[in-house]
Amino acid sequence: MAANSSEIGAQTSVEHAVGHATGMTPLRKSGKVSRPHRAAPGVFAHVVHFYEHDEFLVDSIAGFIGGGLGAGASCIVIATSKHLAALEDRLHAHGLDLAAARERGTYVAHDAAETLSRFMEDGLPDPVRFEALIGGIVARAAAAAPGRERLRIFGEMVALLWREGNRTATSHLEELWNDLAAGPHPFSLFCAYPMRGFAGEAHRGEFSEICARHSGVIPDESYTALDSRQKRLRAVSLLQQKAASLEAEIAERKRAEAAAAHLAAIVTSAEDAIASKTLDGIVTSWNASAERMFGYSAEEMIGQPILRLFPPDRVDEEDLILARIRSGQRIEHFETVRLTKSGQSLEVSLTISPIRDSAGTIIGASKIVRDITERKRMEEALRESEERLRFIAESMPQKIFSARPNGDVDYFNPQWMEFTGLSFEEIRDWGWTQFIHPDDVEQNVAAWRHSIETGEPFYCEHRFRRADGVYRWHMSRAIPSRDGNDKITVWIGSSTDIDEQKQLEERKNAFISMASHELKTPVTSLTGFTQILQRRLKGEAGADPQTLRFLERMDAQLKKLTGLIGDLLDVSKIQTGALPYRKAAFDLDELVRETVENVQAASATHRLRVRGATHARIYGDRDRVGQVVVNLLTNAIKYSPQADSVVVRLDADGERVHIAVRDFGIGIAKGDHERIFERLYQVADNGRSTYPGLGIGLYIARTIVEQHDGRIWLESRRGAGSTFYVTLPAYQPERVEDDADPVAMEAEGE
Amino acid sequence: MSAAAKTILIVDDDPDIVLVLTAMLEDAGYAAIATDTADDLMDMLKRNRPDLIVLDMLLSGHDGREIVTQIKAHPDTGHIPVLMLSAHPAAERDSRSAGADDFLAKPFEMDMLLAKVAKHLA
Repeated sequence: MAANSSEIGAQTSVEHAVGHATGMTPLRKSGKVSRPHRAAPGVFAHVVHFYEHDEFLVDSIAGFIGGGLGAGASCIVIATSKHLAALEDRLHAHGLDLAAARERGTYVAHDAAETLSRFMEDGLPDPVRFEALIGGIVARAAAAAPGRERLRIFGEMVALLWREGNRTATSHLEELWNDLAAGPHPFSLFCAYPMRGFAGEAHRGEFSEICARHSGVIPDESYTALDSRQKRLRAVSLLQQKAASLEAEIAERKRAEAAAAHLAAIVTSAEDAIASKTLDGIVTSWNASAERMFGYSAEEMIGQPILRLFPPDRVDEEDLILARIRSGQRIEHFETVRLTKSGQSLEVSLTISPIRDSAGTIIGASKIVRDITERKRMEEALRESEERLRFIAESMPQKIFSARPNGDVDYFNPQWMEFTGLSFEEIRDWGWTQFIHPDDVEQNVAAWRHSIETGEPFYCEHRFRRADGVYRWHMSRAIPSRDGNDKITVWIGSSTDIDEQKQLEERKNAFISMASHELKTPVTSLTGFTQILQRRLKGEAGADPQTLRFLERMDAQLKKLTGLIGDLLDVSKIQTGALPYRKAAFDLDELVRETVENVQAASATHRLRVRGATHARIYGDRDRVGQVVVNLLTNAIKYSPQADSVVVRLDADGERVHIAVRDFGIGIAKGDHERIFERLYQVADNGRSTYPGLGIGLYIARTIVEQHDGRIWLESRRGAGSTFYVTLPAYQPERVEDDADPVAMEAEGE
Repeated sequence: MSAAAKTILIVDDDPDIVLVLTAMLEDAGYAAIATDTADDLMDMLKRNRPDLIVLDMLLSGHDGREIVTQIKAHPDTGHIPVLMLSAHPAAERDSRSAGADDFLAKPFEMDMLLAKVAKHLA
């Protein structure tokens, strides 16, 4: 890429190089030469000089110009003012009388920038004006020294254009010089480019091109100091290597640039404000987040004291910070307050580190500022909310607790300690089991474990031992709180003292039980007397038929009364969990048939029909299941006063048996379909006020069905009749019943 | 009616129930005797040698289940069928486990009483 080394290599100095170059053939270059030189062979030398340091350049020019002047040639210097001054100083030092030469017109000096401005137009050198201006200068200088010595020109205008980045203009100007050299006044032209202008891969081609455009290339610095041909050859090859090493340098620079860009991107895009300051507290850098956070632009902050961000009551912090930085300490997460441009207070967390120069001397501080206003606000809100919750928890009458996902209770509100007389430490985790009534512990622990394992809400009614040893009934509930991943984070629970309600309920149930029992004794006598009278009268000839009928009605009403008393007793037992079941396998079809016959016998208004069959047996309490069928049938009759039939449909699918009881009565509105199975719930009919009954038949039926692992529901529309469905599991003898106590015990005396 | 020969002892402390049972049984041709207390029941049994006992489960001062156990345990009375009565329908299991031969829930049907009595005297 460089000049023909054998030609250049022969030179021993710039002066000679140029001198020789005037006689050498133009160097054949690669095809990159944009235009062939028009200069006659051996007449024009256009030498390019690369340099790194001004001093080296000045040496070269001094040799070139000084040599020319010394040999009687005219010399033209078009250089930067700085180079010109240095050159003239050097020429003076060599003893040259520039003033005289200038007087004679053999030494002409122009400022490069000024000269350039005189023929540049729209960023390009104007050929006509160049020819007029430079051609004029050349012609005058040539005329001043009409000897044999060739005119010498040092020009730096191309370097200026190059430095500006105007590559096209540089190239054009080089060509204009070449054209001028082909004119009537031959000259040797020496131009110089600073090496630093060629850093970067993008310039590689241009560097080659510049070399190609010139008939001679003078390598930088070290070359001219070399005395042997060999060394110079090596120097030229070093120049080539240098060009090659540019590539490596470019790559290195690219990496560094990338790393710097990366860092810059981090600093720019960081959420945190990043700034740096001198040890005097003067801001030296200010990133985009700092601009956003504080409202000051980088222009407004750089060069300003960082103190302007400090609230008046905190200005002394800066001295402390700087003192620590000076001593090489780092300040981490220092929470304080700073002011924005608009005067707003920001809660910030500061991390400040010393910045050291390459020698390790602390020269400033880098500062990372995190806006924690929002965090502080949330912390405050959280604290307030916690305080409020704690206040609620501690002031409400309910006992509150929380537990970890493993069931360990980690919080009891003070009400617990007050009630139990135990300390938190005594009852935390699983310590609470000690105040649960011994009869309730097992069920309580099982329910709690079940909830913990399944995440299902916890519910339990149990007795807690009060500090004075008295047990009181409580109802406890707990629900899990879950995180975003649906993982349980905490259980929150409460316990409410329900002892009074419980006792009331117990008294009520005891009362119902006792009352129904007390009712039964007179009903038993009444029924007995009635039946005796019926029998006796039937046996008598000529008995009054109306008296007989009255006795029958008495008997029927007493049966109804007996049924109601039985229902009352059942309900009270369901409430206390004491409804007994005597389970055994039985034939369902037979039971239904029998029941239908019995109910039919008591009904003169409706015809009951049975369709289908289950051909199945049921394992359960035959009387209780019969009671369900009775309840459904009597309901069907009762609620279809305008109809005259009820249909019972039986069927089975192997696993389960189905009983459907259909009436053609008033129907039941959708909203009542669930509630109708609740205790004491009766469907109100717009047409009539109420139907007779206690509103407990379906409640009992549902209880019985569910106790048999069955299901009861209904389908109905108002005015279109209702169908009640019961499904029960069919008895499968191979499945051993594991009911521990198939026949429940019941204490006498209720 | 051959049943006329059969004597049935009624043990119940409610005089109306005693009256009802007596009338029902006598109307059916049985000989009925009654007591409202179990205090001297064993002596009474030995004296009267009833063919069947209708025993109310709940007697003041006595538990019908203990009485039936006592009756059944004694060699002189163990063979006598005992029909237990209770207002508590679920008391049947207790009655039977105590040794009662049959059970009838109050209020009862006259037909049912007579059917059960007849069955045990057959």
